[in-house]
Amino acid sequence: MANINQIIRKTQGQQYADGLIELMLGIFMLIAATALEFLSEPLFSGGIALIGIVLSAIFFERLQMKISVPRTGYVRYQDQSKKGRRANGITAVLTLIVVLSIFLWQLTANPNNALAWLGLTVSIVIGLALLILGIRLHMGRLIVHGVISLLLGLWIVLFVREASSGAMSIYFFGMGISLAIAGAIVLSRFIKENPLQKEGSDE
Amino acid sequence: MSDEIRSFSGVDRLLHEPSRTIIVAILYAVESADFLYLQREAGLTKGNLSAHLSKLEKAKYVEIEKTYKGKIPLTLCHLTDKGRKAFEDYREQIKSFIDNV
Repeated sequence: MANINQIIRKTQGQQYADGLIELMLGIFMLIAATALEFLSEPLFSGGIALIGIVLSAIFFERLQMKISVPRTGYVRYQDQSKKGRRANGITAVLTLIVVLSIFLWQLTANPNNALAWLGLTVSIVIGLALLILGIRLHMGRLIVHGVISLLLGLWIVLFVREASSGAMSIYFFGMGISLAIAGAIVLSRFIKENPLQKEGSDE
Repeated sequence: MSDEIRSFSGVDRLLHEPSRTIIVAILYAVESADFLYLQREAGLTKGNLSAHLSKLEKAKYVEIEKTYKGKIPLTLCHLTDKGRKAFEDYREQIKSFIDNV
């Protein structure tokens, strides 16, 4: 008898099989890093970030329909239950409060390092999220991304120590490169391992 | 033999077939999936998958919908509430049986 829990876990992990989520997240983080570099021009910076979000979302779905769906089929994952959405919402709000609190504390206690500490906090939040996801889905590369995130955050606070937004843009640039390269490699392997099916074949 | 073990003889025979268990387990984990996805994940031929899906559809465990996403035609399958409950009950039965053996 098949291990039912394993089947369910493997199915949930399939959404990461083509590497597209990592690739798009990586590209979005690189765009975010660029936006942070232009923080002194808020409209331009905000525009870059907004364009990044919109383009990432549009290209992600289009690439999925073009590359993944013809190879491995189409699947729509479940919307979370009300309870799950509420729990996620509360977690997100609490996380935001913690991050802002640390930033404000550092802004008053140690203004020169405030943004570096913000970078560390963001890196911990993202790192932990990736670690938990990687452990839950048994996906080693998500765990690696989580560790990279934590190490980048530590590096920023220990060695960068910038008062400008440079600390945050370094984090997003580093994570962006890591995710985009990993996503591209996984996508390339996915395309090789999943050739397009011939019309009319029974297999 | 305990009652829990004896009660296993009443297990849902529709779900107690490995290929159908796998199909329903996959559909349980998602909102909907198309034919190609199920075929690949379950490791079945087109004919086999069609036959199993027909049985599940006849029992109203699965609904099959032919639709389009953009210009791409899709045959989407999803578990009905009845199918979801049947699978949950089946899992409980299996677990109870194994725990009591």
